[in-house]
Amino acid sequence: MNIKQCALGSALAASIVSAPLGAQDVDPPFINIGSYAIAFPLGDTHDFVPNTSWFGANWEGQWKYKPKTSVGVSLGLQDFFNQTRGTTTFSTGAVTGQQSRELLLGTLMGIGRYYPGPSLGRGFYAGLGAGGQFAQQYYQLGVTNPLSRSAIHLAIAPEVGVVTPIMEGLDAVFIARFTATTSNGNYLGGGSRNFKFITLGVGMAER
Amino acid sequence: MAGKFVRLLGATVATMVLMPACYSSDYNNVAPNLPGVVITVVDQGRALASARSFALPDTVVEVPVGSNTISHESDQQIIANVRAHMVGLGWQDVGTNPVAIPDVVLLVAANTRIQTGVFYVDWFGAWGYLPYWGPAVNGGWIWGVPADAVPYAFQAGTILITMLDRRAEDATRQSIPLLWAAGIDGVVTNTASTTERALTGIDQAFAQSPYLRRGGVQLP
Repeated sequence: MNIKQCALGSALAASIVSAPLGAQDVDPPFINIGSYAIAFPLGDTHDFVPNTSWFGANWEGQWKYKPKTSVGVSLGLQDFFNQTRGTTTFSTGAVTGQQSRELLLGTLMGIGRYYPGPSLGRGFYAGLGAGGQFAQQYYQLGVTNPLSRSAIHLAIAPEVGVVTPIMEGLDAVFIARFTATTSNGNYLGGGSRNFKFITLGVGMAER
Repeated sequence: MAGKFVRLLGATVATMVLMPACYSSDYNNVAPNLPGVVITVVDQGRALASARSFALPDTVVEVPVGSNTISHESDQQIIANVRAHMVGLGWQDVGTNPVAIPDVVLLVAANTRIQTGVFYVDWFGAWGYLPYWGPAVNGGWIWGVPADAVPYAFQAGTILITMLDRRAEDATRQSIPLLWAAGIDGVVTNTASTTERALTGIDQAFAQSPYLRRGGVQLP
Protein backbone atom coordinates (compact mmCIF):
# COMPACT_ATOMS: atom_id res chain seq x y z
CA MET A 1 0.00 0.00 0.00
CA ASN A 2 1.54 3.30 -0.98
CA ILE A 3 1.23 6.49 1.03
CA LYS A 4 -1.60 7.92 -1.04
CA GLN A 5 -3.71 4.81 -0.56
CA CYS A 6 -2.90 4.80 3.14
CA ALA A 7 -3.95 8.41 3.65
CA LEU A 8 -7.09 8.04 1.60
CA GLY A 9 -8.04 4.86 3.44
CA SER A 10 -7.51 6.49 6.81
CA ALA A 11 -9.75 9.41 5.99
CA LEU A 12 -12.41 7.12 4.56
CA ALA A 13 -12.33 4.83 7.59
CA ALA A 14 -12.62 7.79 9.92
CA SER A 15 -15.65 8.99 8.02
CA ILE A 16 -17.37 5.61 8.23
CA VAL A 17 -16.83 5.10 11.93
CA SER A 18 -17.74 8.62 12.94
CA ALA A 19 -20.12 8.71 15.87
CA PRO A 20 -23.81 9.46 15.41
CA LEU A 21 -24.84 12.89 16.49
CA GLY A 22 -27.01 13.83 19.42
CA ALA A 23 -30.17 15.66 18.53
CA GLN A 24 -29.88 17.71 21.69
CA ASP A 25 -26.67 19.48 20.59
CA VAL A 26 -26.90 23.22 20.59
CA ASP A 27 -25.75 24.87 17.40
CA PRO A 28 -22.66 26.97 18.19
CA PRO A 29 -22.40 30.55 16.92
CA PHE A 30 -18.75 30.02 15.99
CA ILE A 31 -16.58 27.01 15.19
CA ASN A 32 -12.81 27.24 15.29
CA ILE A 33 -11.04 24.60 13.15
CA GLY A 34 -7.35 23.82 12.81
CA SER A 35 -6.11 21.00 10.65
CA TYR A 36 -2.99 19.36 9.31
CA ALA A 37 -3.12 18.59 5.60
CA ILE A 38 -1.32 16.48 3.06
CA ALA A 39 -1.78 17.27 -0.61
CA PHE A 40 -1.47 15.53 -3.94
CA PRO A 41 -0.25 17.69 -6.83
CA LEU A 42 -2.18 17.88 -10.10
CA GLY A 43 -1.49 19.54 -13.45
CA ASP A 44 1.15 22.27 -13.33
CA THR A 45 1.73 21.57 -9.67
CA HIS A 46 2.63 17.96 -10.49
CA ASP A 47 4.79 19.04 -13.42
CA PHE A 48 6.94 21.15 -11.14
CA VAL A 49 6.91 19.00 -7.99
CA PRO A 50 5.54 15.48 -8.43
CA ASN A 51 5.82 14.59 -4.75
CA THR A 52 3.03 14.42 -2.23
CA SER A 53 3.16 17.40 0.09
CA TRP A 54 3.41 16.43 3.76
CA PHE A 55 3.68 20.00 4.93
CA GLY A 56 0.34 21.76 5.08
CA ALA A 57 -2.07 23.31 7.52
CA ASN A 58 -5.36 25.14 7.54
CA TRP A 59 -7.18 27.36 9.94
CA GLU A 60 -10.88 28.03 9.51
CA GLY A 61 -13.44 30.10 11.32
CA GLN A 62 -17.07 29.20 10.71
CA TRP A 63 -20.09 31.19 11.76
CA LYS A 64 -23.68 29.99 11.82
CA TYR A 65 -25.59 31.47 8.93
CA LYS A 66 -28.74 29.35 8.78
CA PRO A 67 -29.80 26.23 10.72
CA LYS A 68 -27.86 23.93 8.39
CA THR A 69 -25.44 26.37 6.82
CA SER A 70 -22.29 28.09 8.01
CA VAL A 71 -20.08 30.67 6.39
CA GLY A 72 -16.54 31.55 7.24
CA VAL A 73 -12.97 32.07 6.22
CA SER A 74 -10.19 29.61 5.53
CA LEU A 75 -6.49 30.31 5.66
CA GLY A 76 -4.32 27.52 4.24
CA LEU A 77 -0.68 26.87 3.56
CA GLN A 78 0.70 23.95 1.55
CA ASP A 79 4.31 23.36 0.68
CA PHE A 80 5.41 21.04 -2.12
CA PHE A 81 9.08 20.16 -2.11
CA ASN A 82 11.32 17.98 -4.20
CA GLN A 83 15.06 17.39 -4.19
CA THR A 84 16.79 15.26 -6.80
CA ARG A 85 20.28 14.61 -8.03
CA GLY A 86 19.41 13.70 -11.56
CA THR A 87 19.19 15.25 -15.01
CA THR A 88 16.58 17.74 -16.11
CA THR A 89 16.25 18.50 -19.80
CA PHE A 90 15.12 21.86 -21.12
CA SER A 91 14.61 23.18 -24.65
CA THR A 92 17.94 25.01 -24.41
CA GLY A 93 19.96 22.22 -22.81
CA ALA A 94 20.12 20.11 -19.70
CA VAL A 95 21.40 20.20 -16.15
CA THR A 96 22.64 17.39 -13.95
CA GLY A 97 23.22 17.78 -10.27
CA GLN A 98 21.42 18.47 -7.06
CA GLN A 99 18.22 20.36 -7.76
CA SER A 100 15.72 21.68 -5.25
CA ARG A 101 12.19 22.63 -6.22
CA GLU A 102 9.68 24.13 -3.88
CA LEU A 103 6.18 25.42 -4.41
CA LEU A 104 4.58 27.29 -1.56
CA LEU A 105 0.84 27.81 -1.95
CA GLY A 106 -1.08 30.00 0.42
CA THR A 107 -4.84 30.32 0.09
CA LEU A 108 -7.29 32.72 1.68
CA MET A 109 -10.90 31.91 0.92
CA GLY A 110 -14.40 32.51 2.02
CA ILE A 111 -16.17 29.20 2.59
CA GLY A 112 -19.79 28.18 2.83
CA ARG A 113 -20.78 24.78 4.20
CA TYR A 114 -23.99 22.80 4.29
CA TYR A 115 -24.55 20.25 7.06
CA PRO A 116 -27.48 17.95 6.21
CA GLY A 117 -27.44 16.38 9.72
CA PRO A 118 -29.43 17.51 12.73
CA SER A 119 -26.59 19.62 14.23
CA LEU A 120 -24.73 22.47 12.62
CA GLY A 121 -21.02 21.81 12.47
CA ARG A 122 -21.27 18.05 12.94
CA GLY A 123 -21.65 15.05 10.68
CA PHE A 124 -21.15 15.07 6.94
CA TYR A 125 -20.89 18.36 5.13
CA ALA A 126 -20.29 19.72 1.66
CA GLY A 127 -18.79 23.11 1.04
CA LEU A 128 -17.40 25.51 -1.47
CA GLY A 129 -14.63 28.01 -1.03
CA ALA A 130 -13.62 30.92 -3.23
CA GLY A 131 -10.83 33.43 -2.84
CA GLY A 132 -7.20 33.89 -3.73
CA GLN A 133 -4.04 31.88 -3.82
CA PHE A 134 -0.50 33.18 -3.49
CA ALA A 135 1.98 30.88 -5.21
CA GLN A 136 5.74 31.10 -4.84
CA GLN A 137 7.92 28.90 -7.00
CA TYR A 138 11.53 28.26 -6.05
CA TYR A 139 14.31 26.43 -7.88
CA GLN A 140 17.92 25.95 -6.92
CA LEU A 141 20.64 24.15 -8.85
CA GLY A 142 23.72 23.12 -6.92
CA VAL A 143 24.56 25.54 -4.15
CA THR A 144 24.05 28.83 -5.96
CA ASN A 145 21.61 30.71 -8.15
CA PRO A 146 18.27 30.27 -6.39
CA LEU A 147 15.50 31.39 -8.70
CA SER A 148 11.99 32.23 -7.64
CA ARG A 149 8.75 33.42 -9.20
CA SER A 150 5.46 34.26 -7.62
CA ALA A 151 1.95 35.36 -8.52
CA ILE A 152 -1.55 35.64 -7.14
CA HIS A 153 -4.37 33.53 -8.56
CA LEU A 154 -8.09 33.32 -8.09
CA ALA A 155 -9.00 30.03 -6.44
CA ILE A 156 -12.07 27.90 -6.02
CA ALA A 157 -12.25 24.85 -3.78
CA PRO A 158 -15.14 22.39 -3.52
CA GLU A 159 -14.87 20.16 -0.48
CA VAL A 160 -16.50 17.43 1.54
CA GLY A 161 -15.83 16.41 5.09
CA VAL A 162 -17.09 14.89 8.26
CA VAL A 163 -17.04 16.18 11.83
CA THR A 164 -17.41 13.84 14.75
CA PRO A 165 -17.37 14.65 18.50
CA ILE A 166 -14.51 13.22 20.53
CA MET A 167 -14.94 15.08 23.82
CA GLU A 168 -16.83 17.96 25.36
CA GLY A 169 -16.38 20.98 23.14
CA LEU A 170 -13.88 19.31 20.85
CA ASP A 171 -14.59 17.53 17.57
CA ALA A 172 -12.43 15.67 15.09
CA VAL A 173 -12.57 16.93 11.52
CA PHE A 174 -11.72 15.10 8.30
CA ILE A 175 -11.58 17.16 5.12
CA ALA A 176 -11.10 16.38 1.43
CA ARG A 177 -10.72 19.43 -0.79
CA PHE A 178 -9.91 20.09 -4.41
CA THR A 179 -8.30 23.46 -5.05
CA ALA A 180 -8.25 24.86 -8.57
CA THR A 181 -6.93 28.24 -9.63
CA THR A 182 -6.94 30.55 -12.59
CA SER A 183 -3.86 30.59 -14.80
CA ASN A 184 -1.64 33.54 -14.05
CA GLY A 185 1.94 34.72 -13.58
CA ASN A 186 5.18 34.23 -15.42
CA TYR A 187 6.80 31.21 -13.84
CA LEU A 188 10.10 29.41 -14.31
CA GLY A 189 10.28 27.95 -17.77
CA GLY A 190 8.12 30.77 -19.10
CA GLY A 191 4.41 31.46 -19.15
CA SER A 192 1.52 31.27 -16.75
CA ARG A 193 0.55 28.33 -14.56
CA ASN A 194 -2.41 27.15 -12.53
CA PHE A 195 -1.57 25.17 -9.45
CA LYS A 196 -4.17 22.54 -8.64
CA PHE A 197 -4.04 20.04 -5.84
CA ILE A 198 -6.16 17.75 -3.70
CA THR A 199 -5.92 18.11 0.04
CA LEU A 200 -6.71 15.56 2.73
CA GLY A 201 -6.83 17.08 6.16
CA VAL A 202 -7.38 15.96 9.71
CA GLY A 203 -7.86 18.36 12.53
CA MET A 204 -9.79 19.56 15.52
CA ALA A 205 -12.78 21.84 15.89
CA GLU A 206 -13.65 23.82 18.96
CA ARG A 207 -17.27 24.87 19.40
CA MET B 1 -12.68 32.77 21.42
CA ALA B 2 -9.29 34.43 21.08
CA GLY B 3 -7.73 31.97 23.52
CA LYS B 4 -9.09 29.00 21.60
CA PHE B 5 -7.81 30.44 18.38
CA VAL B 6 -4.31 30.94 19.76
CA ARG B 7 -4.16 27.38 21.15
CA LEU B 8 -5.39 25.82 17.95
CA LEU B 9 -3.15 27.95 15.76
CA GLY B 10 -0.18 27.06 17.98
CA ALA B 11 -0.83 23.34 17.54
CA THR B 12 -1.16 23.82 13.80
CA VAL B 13 2.11 25.72 13.50
CA ALA B 14 3.93 23.11 15.61
CA THR B 15 2.71 20.41 13.24
CA MET B 16 3.94 22.36 10.24
CA VAL B 17 7.38 22.82 11.74
CA LEU B 18 7.77 19.13 12.48
CA MET B 19 6.56 17.81 9.16
CA PRO B 20 9.58 18.61 6.92
CA ALA B 21 11.32 15.65 8.53
CA CYS B 22 9.04 13.47 6.41
CA TYR B 23 10.56 14.65 3.13
CA SER B 24 12.54 12.13 1.16
CA SER B 25 15.11 12.70 -1.55
CA ASP B 26 16.11 10.85 -4.68
CA TYR B 27 19.87 10.73 -5.01
CA ASN B 28 20.30 7.63 -7.11
CA ASN B 29 19.94 8.92 -10.65
CA VAL B 30 23.55 9.79 -11.44
CA ALA B 31 27.06 8.54 -10.71
CA PRO B 32 28.10 9.15 -7.09
CA ASN B 33 31.45 10.65 -8.13
CA LEU B 34 29.83 13.17 -10.46
CA PRO B 35 30.89 16.76 -9.82
CA GLY B 36 28.37 19.17 -8.35
CA VAL B 37 26.62 20.38 -11.47
CA VAL B 38 26.94 19.64 -15.19
CA ILE B 39 25.16 22.08 -17.48
CA THR B 40 24.82 21.87 -21.23
CA VAL B 41 23.43 24.61 -23.44
CA VAL B 42 22.44 24.03 -27.04
CA ASP B 43 21.10 25.87 -30.06
CA GLN B 44 19.24 23.06 -31.79
CA GLY B 45 18.91 24.78 -35.12
CA ARG B 46 19.93 23.81 -38.63
CA ALA B 47 23.52 24.91 -38.04
CA LEU B 48 24.10 22.22 -35.44
CA ALA B 49 22.15 19.60 -37.36
CA SER B 50 24.29 20.15 -40.47
CA ALA B 51 27.67 20.15 -38.71
CA ARG B 52 29.76 17.02 -39.19
CA SER B 53 33.42 17.84 -38.58
CA PHE B 54 35.30 19.45 -35.73
CA ALA B 55 38.66 20.83 -34.71
CA LEU B 56 39.84 20.62 -31.13
CA PRO B 57 42.93 22.66 -30.12
CA ASP B 58 45.17 20.59 -27.89
CA THR B 59 45.09 23.05 -25.00
CA VAL B 60 43.05 23.83 -21.91
CA VAL B 61 43.33 27.57 -21.43
CA GLU B 62 42.73 29.41 -18.19
CA VAL B 63 40.35 32.31 -18.02
CA PRO B 64 40.93 35.05 -17.20
CA VAL B 65 44.19 35.11 -19.11
CA GLY B 66 47.35 34.42 -17.17
CA SER B 67 45.75 33.11 -14.01
CA ASN B 68 48.15 30.18 -13.74
CA THR B 69 46.45 28.87 -10.64
CA ILE B 70 45.11 25.56 -11.86
CA SER B 71 46.89 22.26 -12.19
CA HIS B 72 47.16 21.20 -15.82
CA GLU B 73 48.12 17.61 -15.13
CA SER B 74 44.75 16.44 -16.45
CA ASP B 75 44.72 18.53 -19.61
CA GLN B 76 45.66 15.81 -22.08
CA GLN B 77 43.17 13.36 -20.59
CA ILE B 78 40.45 15.99 -20.72
CA ILE B 79 41.17 16.81 -24.36
CA ALA B 80 41.41 13.14 -25.27
CA ASN B 81 38.09 12.43 -23.58
CA VAL B 82 36.32 15.23 -25.43
CA ARG B 83 37.79 14.05 -28.71
CA ALA B 84 36.84 10.44 -28.02
CA HIS B 85 33.24 11.41 -27.30
CA MET B 86 32.97 13.48 -30.48
CA VAL B 87 34.46 10.74 -32.65
CA GLY B 88 32.30 8.18 -30.88
CA LEU B 89 29.23 10.24 -31.72
CA GLY B 90 30.15 10.11 -35.39
CA TRP B 91 31.92 13.44 -35.89
CA GLN B 92 34.95 13.73 -38.16
CA ASP B 93 38.08 15.05 -36.47
CA VAL B 94 40.01 17.30 -38.88
CA GLY B 95 43.02 17.26 -36.57
CA THR B 96 45.11 20.24 -35.57
CA ASN B 97 46.23 21.25 -39.04
CA PRO B 98 45.70 25.03 -39.20
CA VAL B 99 44.54 24.86 -42.80
CA ALA B 100 41.84 22.34 -41.99
CA ILE B 101 38.26 23.51 -42.52
CA PRO B 102 36.05 22.07 -39.80
CA ASP B 103 32.37 22.85 -39.39
CA VAL B 104 32.78 23.59 -35.70
CA VAL B 105 35.62 24.40 -33.35
CA LEU B 106 35.66 23.02 -29.82
CA LEU B 107 37.49 25.07 -27.21
CA VAL B 108 38.19 23.82 -23.71
CA ALA B 109 38.86 26.29 -20.92
CA ALA B 110 39.12 26.22 -17.17
CA ASN B 111 38.04 29.28 -15.27
CA THR B 112 39.81 30.49 -12.17
CA ARG B 113 37.02 32.80 -11.04
CA ILE B 114 33.29 32.57 -10.51
CA GLN B 115 31.95 32.41 -14.03
CA THR B 116 28.38 33.33 -14.91
CA GLY B 117 27.21 31.39 -17.94
CA VAL B 118 29.30 29.47 -20.45
CA PHE B 119 30.31 32.58 -22.36
CA TYR B 120 33.59 34.25 -21.39
CA VAL B 121 34.25 37.70 -22.76
CA ASP B 122 38.03 37.37 -22.81
CA TRP B 123 37.97 34.34 -25.08
CA PHE B 124 40.11 35.93 -27.76
CA GLY B 125 42.71 37.08 -25.26
CA ALA B 126 42.79 33.62 -23.71
CA TRP B 127 43.18 31.80 -27.00
CA GLY B 128 45.01 34.36 -29.06
CA TYR B 129 44.62 34.18 -32.80
CA LEU B 130 42.70 31.15 -33.98
CA PRO B 131 43.22 30.31 -37.65
CA TYR B 132 39.73 29.00 -38.27
CA TRP B 133 38.03 32.38 -38.83
CA GLY B 134 40.77 34.38 -40.45
CA PRO B 135 42.30 37.72 -39.42
CA ALA B 136 39.01 39.63 -39.50
CA VAL B 137 38.02 38.08 -36.19
CA ASN B 138 39.65 39.85 -33.27
CA GLY B 139 39.14 40.60 -29.59
CA GLY B 140 36.12 42.75 -30.32
CA TRP B 141 34.12 39.74 -31.41
CA ILE B 142 31.73 37.96 -29.09
CA TRP B 143 29.92 34.65 -29.05
CA GLY B 144 26.26 34.47 -29.94
CA VAL B 145 24.76 32.33 -27.18
CA PRO B 146 21.38 30.57 -27.51
CA ALA B 147 18.45 32.69 -26.41
CA ASP B 148 16.42 31.89 -23.28
CA ALA B 149 19.26 30.17 -21.46
CA VAL B 150 19.34 31.17 -17.78
CA PRO B 151 22.92 32.04 -16.69
CA TYR B 152 24.38 29.91 -13.91
CA ALA B 153 27.20 31.09 -11.64
CA PHE B 154 29.88 28.41 -11.97
CA GLN B 155 32.47 27.99 -9.25
CA ALA B 156 36.14 28.59 -9.88
CA GLY B 157 37.73 25.51 -11.39
CA THR B 158 34.93 24.88 -13.87
CA ILE B 159 35.69 23.27 -17.21
CA LEU B 160 33.96 25.06 -20.08
CA ILE B 161 33.67 23.25 -23.39
CA THR B 162 32.33 25.47 -26.14
CA MET B 163 31.38 24.47 -29.67
CA LEU B 164 31.60 27.41 -32.08
CA ASP B 165 30.27 27.47 -35.61
CA ARG B 166 33.20 28.15 -37.94
CA ARG B 167 30.90 28.59 -40.95
CA ALA B 168 28.65 31.39 -39.75
CA GLU B 169 30.53 34.31 -38.26
CA ASP B 170 28.47 37.49 -38.40
CA ALA B 171 30.75 40.37 -39.44
CA THR B 172 28.03 42.96 -38.88
CA ARG B 173 27.46 41.98 -35.27
CA GLN B 174 31.01 40.70 -34.84
CA SER B 175 29.56 37.51 -33.45
CA ILE B 176 30.39 33.83 -33.73
CA PRO B 177 27.46 31.49 -33.08
CA LEU B 178 27.86 29.18 -30.12
CA LEU B 179 26.09 25.92 -30.97
CA TRP B 180 26.70 23.88 -27.85
CA ALA B 181 28.51 24.30 -24.58
CA ALA B 182 29.10 22.36 -21.42
CA GLY B 183 30.06 23.58 -17.98
CA ILE B 184 31.42 21.04 -15.51
CA ASP B 185 31.21 22.88 -12.23
CA GLY B 186 34.28 23.32 -10.07
CA VAL B 187 36.15 20.12 -10.97
CA VAL B 188 39.58 21.46 -11.85
CA THR B 189 41.44 21.85 -8.60
CA ASN B 190 44.74 20.70 -7.24
CA THR B 191 43.28 17.72 -5.43
CA ALA B 192 43.99 14.11 -6.32
CA SER B 193 40.48 13.46 -7.62
CA THR B 194 40.65 16.19 -10.27
CA THR B 195 41.08 13.94 -13.28
CA GLU B 196 38.40 11.45 -12.33
CA ARG B 197 35.89 14.17 -11.49
CA ALA B 198 36.62 16.06 -14.68
CA LEU B 199 36.33 13.00 -16.90
CA THR B 200 33.13 11.87 -15.19
CA GLY B 201 31.67 15.32 -15.70
CA ILE B 202 32.61 15.35 -19.38
CA ASP B 203 31.03 11.91 -19.80
CA GLN B 204 27.83 13.28 -18.27
CA ALA B 205 27.87 16.39 -20.48
CA PHE B 206 27.89 14.25 -23.62
CA ALA B 207 25.42 11.76 -22.16
CA GLN B 208 22.85 14.51 -21.67
CA SER B 209 23.40 15.86 -25.21
CA PRO B 210 21.89 13.18 -27.48
CA TYR B 211 21.42 15.71 -30.33
CA LEU B 212 25.19 15.60 -30.92
CA ARG B 213 24.98 12.06 -32.28
CA ARG B 214 25.98 11.73 -35.92
CA GLY B 215 25.53 7.99 -36.33
CA GLY B 216 28.53 6.82 -34.34
CA VAL B 217 28.60 4.69 -31.23
CA GLN B 218 28.37 6.75 -28.05
CA LEU B 219 30.92 5.95 -25.41
CA PRO B 220 29.59 4.45 -22.18
